[in-house]
Amino acid sequence: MDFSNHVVTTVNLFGFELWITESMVNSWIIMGILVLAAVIIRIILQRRTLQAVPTGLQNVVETIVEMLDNFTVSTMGEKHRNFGPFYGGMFIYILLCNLSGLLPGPKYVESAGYIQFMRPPTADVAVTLALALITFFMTQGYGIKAKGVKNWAKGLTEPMWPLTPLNVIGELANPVSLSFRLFGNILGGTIIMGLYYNLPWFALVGIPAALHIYFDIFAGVLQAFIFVMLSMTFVSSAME
Amino acid sequence: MPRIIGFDAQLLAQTALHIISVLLVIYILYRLLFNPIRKLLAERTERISNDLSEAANQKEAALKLRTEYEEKLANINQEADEIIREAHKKALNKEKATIAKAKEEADRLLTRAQLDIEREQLKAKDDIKKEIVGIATLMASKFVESSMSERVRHQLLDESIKEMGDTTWLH
Repeated sequence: MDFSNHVVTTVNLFGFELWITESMVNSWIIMGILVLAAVIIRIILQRRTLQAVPTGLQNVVETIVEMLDNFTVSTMGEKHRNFGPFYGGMFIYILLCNLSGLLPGPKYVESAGYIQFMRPPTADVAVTLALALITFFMTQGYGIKAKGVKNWAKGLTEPMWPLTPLNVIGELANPVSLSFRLFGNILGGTIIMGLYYNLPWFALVGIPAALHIYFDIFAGVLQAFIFVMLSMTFVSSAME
Repeated sequence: MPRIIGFDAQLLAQTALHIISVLLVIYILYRLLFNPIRKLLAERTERISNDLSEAANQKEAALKLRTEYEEKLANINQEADEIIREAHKKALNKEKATIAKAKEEADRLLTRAQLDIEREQLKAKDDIKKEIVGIATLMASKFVESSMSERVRHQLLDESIKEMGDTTWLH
């Protein structure tokens, strides 16, 4: 059984050997699907021109966009509605990454299992750390923008200055906890599914479907939701 | 090289590459999908709220107009009486003015006629006097020629002229 993140190819970048990993390629596939879907939706809607009274596809797209906007507003407040598209995009991306474990994917190595499922990109700490670092930089950046450097730095010394190291560690722990929560949950699901698919054939009738529902769909949707909601909370609380 | 997790330069490099990819895909989704749809939704919300407020305004205006007309209908008889009274008053004023004007014109004509009459009278008197003088002269000359001497005739003419005097000639 191999749950590793395989290296598909290597790229030499100014003398540094960058590994293009399985999760990176998978994430690009998912990004490609997202962009393609957006282009197709845009073309279809533009051909009919966006209507004042929506029908069909426009209804679905409007509902999704509005739902993501409302999710942002309910977590961050009405004045931060403009974060809607950013967190909407992030949510859809993480959700598709988490759910990609349901789809058969490209085969990078010989697998022992019967079916080669796609390895979710979020089962790689590099992906989750990237998302968590975006949140971290946004939290600090918007915090400084909203409060000013002086007040932001002063916030780290509260409630009393000897606690400054703890506050700094607390800030730095946020991206770590965010990234490892998502990484651990998705990797855990992937490992359990991989282990289960190595059981004899009679154990593979019907039961994997229920396991997929729990580990891929339930945990996937929940973790995407938790990640985005925590990210929103960090950013909005840094601005208050 | 295959691994589940590792903390080294590879992790940092791959994380950086992922950050760029994620930001790029979020930006593309924002431009292609979220922005136009959000704009459309915002425009629709604004249009609906405008329509609603416009409808409320129009309803208010219609109600106001209805109240106004109802009031007007209730007062219409009173208004009609007012109009008739006004017209009657105007007609009376006009009548008075016309009569006054006619009277004035008649007075003016009468005065002018009287002046004309007086002038004609004067002219007639003058003519009659001229005629009388002519006839008297003629008769006297005839009578004197037949019965008086040259000396007596001259004496008589002088006496007649003296009797008539300056004032008689002027009338």
